[in-house]
Amino acid sequence: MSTGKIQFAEQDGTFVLKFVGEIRLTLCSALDATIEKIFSALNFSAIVIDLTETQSIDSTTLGLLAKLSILSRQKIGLLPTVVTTHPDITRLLQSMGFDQVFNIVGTPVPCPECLEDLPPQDQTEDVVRTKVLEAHRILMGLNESNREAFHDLVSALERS
Amino acid sequence: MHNPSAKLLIIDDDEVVRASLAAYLEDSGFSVRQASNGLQGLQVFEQDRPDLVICDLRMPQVDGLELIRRISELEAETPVIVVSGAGVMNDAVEALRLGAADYLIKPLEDLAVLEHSVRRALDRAALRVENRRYREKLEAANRELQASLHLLQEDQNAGRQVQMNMLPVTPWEVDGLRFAHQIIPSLYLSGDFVDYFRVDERRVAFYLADVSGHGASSAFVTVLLKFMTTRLLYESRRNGLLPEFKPSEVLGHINRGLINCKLGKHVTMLGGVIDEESGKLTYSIGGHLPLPVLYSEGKASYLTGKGLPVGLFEEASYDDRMIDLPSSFSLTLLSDGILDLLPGDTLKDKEAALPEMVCEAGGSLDGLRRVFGLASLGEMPDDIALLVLSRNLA
Repeated sequence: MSTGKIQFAEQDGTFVLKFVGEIRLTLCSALDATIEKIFSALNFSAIVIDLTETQSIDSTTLGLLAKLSILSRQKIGLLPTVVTTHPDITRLLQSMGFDQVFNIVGTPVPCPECLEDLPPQDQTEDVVRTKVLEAHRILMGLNESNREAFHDLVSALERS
Repeated sequence: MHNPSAKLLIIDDDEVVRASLAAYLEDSGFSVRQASNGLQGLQVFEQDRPDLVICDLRMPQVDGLELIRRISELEAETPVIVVSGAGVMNDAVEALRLGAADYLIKPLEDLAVLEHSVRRALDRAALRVENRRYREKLEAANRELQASLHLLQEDQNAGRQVQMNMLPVTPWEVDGLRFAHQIIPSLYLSGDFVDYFRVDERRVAFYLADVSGHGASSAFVTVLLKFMTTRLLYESRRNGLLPEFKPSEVLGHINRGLINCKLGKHVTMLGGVIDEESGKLTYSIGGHLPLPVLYSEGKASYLTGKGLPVGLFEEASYDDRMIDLPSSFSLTLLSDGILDLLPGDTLKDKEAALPEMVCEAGGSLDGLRRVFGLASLGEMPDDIALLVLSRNLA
């Protein structure tokens, strides 16, 4: 494994995944299963993926993100929100065409006017924007005050 | 630790001394054999194989020194403690040189000294045996590991051979177009793959693919890619003719194929078709970095385009871009492993540097090999693939 870690937290129906450092999952695609397990166990209304502290991300991890996008659409009819402020990560997501399958937010603070061109989803544009803002606010709150709300995803995998 | 009830053999022609040593050591929990001279001692030794021998130095026929020699000839690592009257220093030195574990002077005032010496010698012998066992175990494990490693290496090499055989000839010339490639796996097998081939008398197709992850699991998928593209080519032929097709459709076909296989792997790829009659290149991009670099008249720039990776999203659709190919040009396709070799700290810097390096390389694969120092690469974290197609390069 690498120097990176993946954490998750849940609050008010928002499921948060946080990728910290160098994420390389080359030999650990079993995380797929964990994600599915967590998904089926929790009731949630939004998914937000925090890439603001991510240094690098390998192709296997990008595959995992894609899986999240698919699961989220199936379960709640909305795409997950990705918060990315690191230009390299943003560029990588763009090159993968991930702006078509995620609500990508490029600001550290929630910003209604930044959400102009979100990809089409099952809900109306207004609902999607409201959801994205709310998820982003919850993520900010968790990051600022409530670090212990985050659990390590890999240890969750080892326990399961 | 030694066995507390170890078997001892006492050899001494002085019966009184021998009996008193035996009695004391038996009380200490040892099991004791006795012999009254060297020859008899040797017989008992060979019969009973004691754990330790205590012998007098001065005995008729076979003396103590001779006994030590013979015991070591038997390749027994049995410790021998020599007990002797205050004799010559030479005897003591000689006994120790022959490998005696200890040398005690008669009369033994305090038998606890003897017992201590016995226990220490037994401990040392036990340690020696344990050490040897460990070493033998370790050496055996090492040999097995070496053999397993060798087997795995052979296996990987055989896999690599198959993968090499799937790759197209390099360089390959067709109607003035020249294709050349190089793939540098980070392990034995590569998750990067390239192919180029004639489609019919007016069209030539090529692609570069990077399977997620690397190593054997990704290499399996390259086999699948080769199979899918080859089969598509043959099955689409009607009466020897291939209908019009777009690279985006091929990407869509591979996308569905990979998803149906449920391999948990996806691919980023670039594919294109050159129509020799119209001189146009039609290409399609599936989530790939870096973008292809077009080099012509001393300038290099990225082709545009983007799309989702292949093999992740069922509903993914790909689009085609078309450009007129200059009469003299080169087009460089690279997998993202090259990013590790590009100068700069950020992706932006690296992407900015690539066209400059293609210029510096004069747009050729040999030039790129030189500019990137591919001949002297150390271990790389990711596979690197280069595919250069060119025409009339100066």
